[in-house]
Amino acid sequence: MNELERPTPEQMLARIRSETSDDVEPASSVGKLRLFFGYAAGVGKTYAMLQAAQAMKREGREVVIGYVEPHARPETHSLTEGLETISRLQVSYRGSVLQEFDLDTTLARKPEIVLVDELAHTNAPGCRHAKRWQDVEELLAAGINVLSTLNVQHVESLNDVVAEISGVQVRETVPDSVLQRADEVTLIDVSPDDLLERLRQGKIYVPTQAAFALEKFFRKNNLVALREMALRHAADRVHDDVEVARLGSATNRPWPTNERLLVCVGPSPTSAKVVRAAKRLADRIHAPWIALHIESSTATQWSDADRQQLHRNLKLAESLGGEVVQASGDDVSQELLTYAFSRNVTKIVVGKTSETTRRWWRGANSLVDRMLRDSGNMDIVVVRGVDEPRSGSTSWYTNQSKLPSLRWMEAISFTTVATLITLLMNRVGFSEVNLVMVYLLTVVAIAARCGSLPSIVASLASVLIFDLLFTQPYYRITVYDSQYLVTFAVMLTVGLLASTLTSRVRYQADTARRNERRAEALYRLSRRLANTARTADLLQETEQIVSEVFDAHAVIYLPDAGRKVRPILGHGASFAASAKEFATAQWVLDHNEPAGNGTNTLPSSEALYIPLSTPDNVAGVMAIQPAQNNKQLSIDARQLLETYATHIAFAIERNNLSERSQRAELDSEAEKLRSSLLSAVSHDLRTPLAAIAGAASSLDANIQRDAIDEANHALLETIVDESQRLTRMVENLLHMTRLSSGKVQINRQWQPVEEVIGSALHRLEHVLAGREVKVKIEGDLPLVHGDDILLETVLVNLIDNALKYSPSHKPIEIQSEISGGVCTFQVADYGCGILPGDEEKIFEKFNRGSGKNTDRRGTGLGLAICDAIVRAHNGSITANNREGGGTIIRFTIPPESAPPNITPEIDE
Amino acid sequence: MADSSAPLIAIIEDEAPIQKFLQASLHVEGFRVAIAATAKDGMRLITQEHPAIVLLDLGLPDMDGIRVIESVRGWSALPIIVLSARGEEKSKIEALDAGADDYLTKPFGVGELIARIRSALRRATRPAGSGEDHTFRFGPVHGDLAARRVFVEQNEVKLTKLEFDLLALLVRNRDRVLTHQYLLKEIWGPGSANEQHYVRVFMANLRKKLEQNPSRPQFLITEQGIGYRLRSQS
Repeated sequence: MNELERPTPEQMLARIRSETSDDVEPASSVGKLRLFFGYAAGVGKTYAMLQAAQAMKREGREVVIGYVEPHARPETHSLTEGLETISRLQVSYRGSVLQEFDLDTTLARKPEIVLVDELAHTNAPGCRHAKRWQDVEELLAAGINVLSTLNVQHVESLNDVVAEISGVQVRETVPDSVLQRADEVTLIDVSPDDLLERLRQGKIYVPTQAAFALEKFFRKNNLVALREMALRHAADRVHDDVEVARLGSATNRPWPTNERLLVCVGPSPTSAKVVRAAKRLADRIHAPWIALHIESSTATQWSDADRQQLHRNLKLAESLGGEVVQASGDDVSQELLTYAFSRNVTKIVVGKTSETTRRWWRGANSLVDRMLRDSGNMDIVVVRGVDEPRSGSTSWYTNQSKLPSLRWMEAISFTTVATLITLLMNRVGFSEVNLVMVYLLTVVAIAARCGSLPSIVASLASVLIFDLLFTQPYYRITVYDSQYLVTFAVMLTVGLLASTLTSRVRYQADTARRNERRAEALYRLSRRLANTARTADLLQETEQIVSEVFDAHAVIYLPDAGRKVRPILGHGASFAASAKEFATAQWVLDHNEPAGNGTNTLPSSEALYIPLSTPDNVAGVMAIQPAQNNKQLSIDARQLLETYATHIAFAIERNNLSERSQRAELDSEAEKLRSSLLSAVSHDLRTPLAAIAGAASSLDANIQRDAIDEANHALLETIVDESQRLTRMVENLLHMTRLSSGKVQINRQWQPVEEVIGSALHRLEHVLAGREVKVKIEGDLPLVHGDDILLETVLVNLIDNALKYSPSHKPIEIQSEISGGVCTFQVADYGCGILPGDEEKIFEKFNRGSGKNTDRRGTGLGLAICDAIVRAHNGSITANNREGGGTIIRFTIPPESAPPNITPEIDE
Repeated sequence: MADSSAPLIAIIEDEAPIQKFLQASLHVEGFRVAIAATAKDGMRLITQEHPAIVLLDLGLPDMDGIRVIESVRGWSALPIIVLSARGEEKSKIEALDAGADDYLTKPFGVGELIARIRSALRRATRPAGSGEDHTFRFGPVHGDLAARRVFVEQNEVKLTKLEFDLLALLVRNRDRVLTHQYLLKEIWGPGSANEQHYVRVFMANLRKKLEQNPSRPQFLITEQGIGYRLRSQS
């Protein structure tokens, strides 16, 4: 640790935090990804990748084949020769053995560059990640450079366009973010004619099961279209690179248009297409984009299939890099626009068919129409939806069959009771108007209790019953008096309206209740978190609340000092003790990403693992296992869970920090005490020492003048020399306390190296006493950028040490040179050297080395001071033994600014 | 030893052991000595006794020593030598800029102290401007300021204009510390206060031309952190 500046507790905390966060993200050593990009199989991506690998190997770089498709052509295969190949992982799946890329072996092998073919590949179940691109991301994070291949149809945002062109739905996709993070994309291109020729010659590897699809795929017009897409994609990327280069840095990506895009997401499969279209548009105009879903009252009528499709659509938006937002409200267009205005959205993307909002009473006033009318100066982009069959049958009927029969029973009994009452009232002689009222009341009651569908049926039924029982002719559907038709119509209309209204009220109440529950849960969590001071209590409280709110088993893992999590024994949740489960927790801690059940990473885990991350640290991992097996958390619950995770992470971090700050405060108090003690002592020592030295020198001068006694002169000289040495030691002590209290300011000046060395030698003139000193300065009047007094102190200490630890008849050598702007000084002697292993230790405080010379005088502070001063100049100091005996101490002083320009004077 | 015509030295110093040793040593050398332990007493001493020279400790209990220098300089050119410890370069520069003539770093030998006192007294008794010798000599270096010529032994040395000006300034103030700021202001003008490296580089050039071993100078001495001094006797 840098001894020069004793940091304040705040600085210390900041440093601790930054050090721990460094452990999580070694940002400096992220590997580079190079992609070989083509428009179809067979264009020669793998071949080009292997050629590049061979070229790198010739340059002497460490290239390893992680995975290359084993069925490659002989030409391709010959290129793998001479390259180290990592053996494939054998995964048995449903009786057959699949060969997969071995991620763990590669990570352990840690080559400089690894080749991983087919980025879009889906891994066999049982591998750590569901997709190969996730493997590659992990390799990159570990600082390994990756070469990989990718076809255009596997790019997520282009997926649907490709499907439309080729008629082949590609299931293996790679998120655009992976493509965007690639450091280099090399386009591999051949003309479609050549490609078809290659196919005819059988040079393209075609798996037999995909032969039909490929036949459909390899048509010339298909290939031309795909090629155009690949070329355009590559060109877009080149354009981006040029933009980035033009505007400076990659971190400051250009947002020249200042646009923000919003796309509406619904439960239809069409929505996925709209989302992809929005993503492409957003990319083109460099805009961030939001995927918004408005949950309206119609949501109550959705089938499970609808919900799953919505979930998929939102996930797609998330994986394409969109911000996913859900809101609820009854008027979809109104809610949408309100949200859009609140976020300064400039463009709204909607699908053309939006059937869920098409209602007979709204006529032609569709969602799009209303948005066009109310959107102000926002652009509305309407994307054509494709009429695909809905996944599953329409919701109406599935809904009906799936409704709990209890509600229907209730509705039927209500209607029956109403009929009995009306019969009774009819007997007693109430008028028909009153009977109609009773039926209306019943319909409203059913709407309120049993939902809209039973109430609609009930209103139809009441009209029918009324018609049968109370209008002439009785027990027949026909009506004599046409006035009753009005009664029927009104009954029906009121019934339908009541059912719509009540179901809407019910929905809003539901939403409000859910929001309230959510807010209440968050409030409860934050209140309890605020009230717990000890981390152990905090964990217990949190686990309890999370278990209650999500109806799940929750476990929180905290990392130890080595950033490892440990399985928790004796915990209520059974999975906490399993080794496999805790490996997942470790992975989440290391990668700061969710994993486990319901994700693409380690999906076979029993629980879902979420990192408890603060902006600069991962405080722990929370594991959630739904109490009912095989139940996954809804998107809503996931979002709440993530909010929880952030809250908990900050609470844990707060506790950790307060513990650390208490410790740091104690440390700094102790250090302060020590410093003030030392400084007081050394101040008090200086005055008497100055008096002793002065008095002795005065006496000596008198004696010399009177030329009385040689012996007395020698004695007095010893007193002077020794008191001066003592003073130097005291000064060193003072220096050290000042350096470590951070009170010393570095006053850097450009100065000739010669002057620094000269003044150090001048100060030691008396001690040197004619000792031979060889000074060698390379270059013509080199300048060093440093604090003159501190540099002199370093040299004085080093030279003094050299004098102390080498025989008096051997010279001392001082050298200096400048290379790359950095000034290096070197002080060498012909003494006894340093014991091996002591090279670092001698720079510690109060260390005088463990050599034979420990009897020499000195506090052992000199080198510690040198070390502190050199570090304060951002330089480094090292000690080595020289060949033939002796010590070399070398230190560097890097400059902080460019050297000054001194115009040479023109000679007169 | 010291008769009443001997120069009077005023010592303003609060530490008794230092007072005692200074008094004894200076007495032996034939000076008269008056002692004050506080700045207030010191000022009274200076105004009433009219000492020939003042030795001033910067760390006085009642007042900053620099304030003493400033107030004395208000009405007198009396030589002042500052006594201070190492690591207090900033206050030394302040003292020199405030008008102190020289400084000594504790602990110092009595030989050095006497040399400094003598040279300060010599400068003080030499009437300003008049009778000044144009010629100078230190070690093998000699020359004539009026003729702007400099020799090492018998060989004439070519100096640039600025190098010569720098040397001349040092020669006129020989044995006295001149701060970086002072040299910069005198030679490069008041606008160059932040260009300390000019002085350093020109001094290095001067050393290369005049000193036998420029990395172990005998005459053009660096007072690290403060400035330069031309030592007339090696």
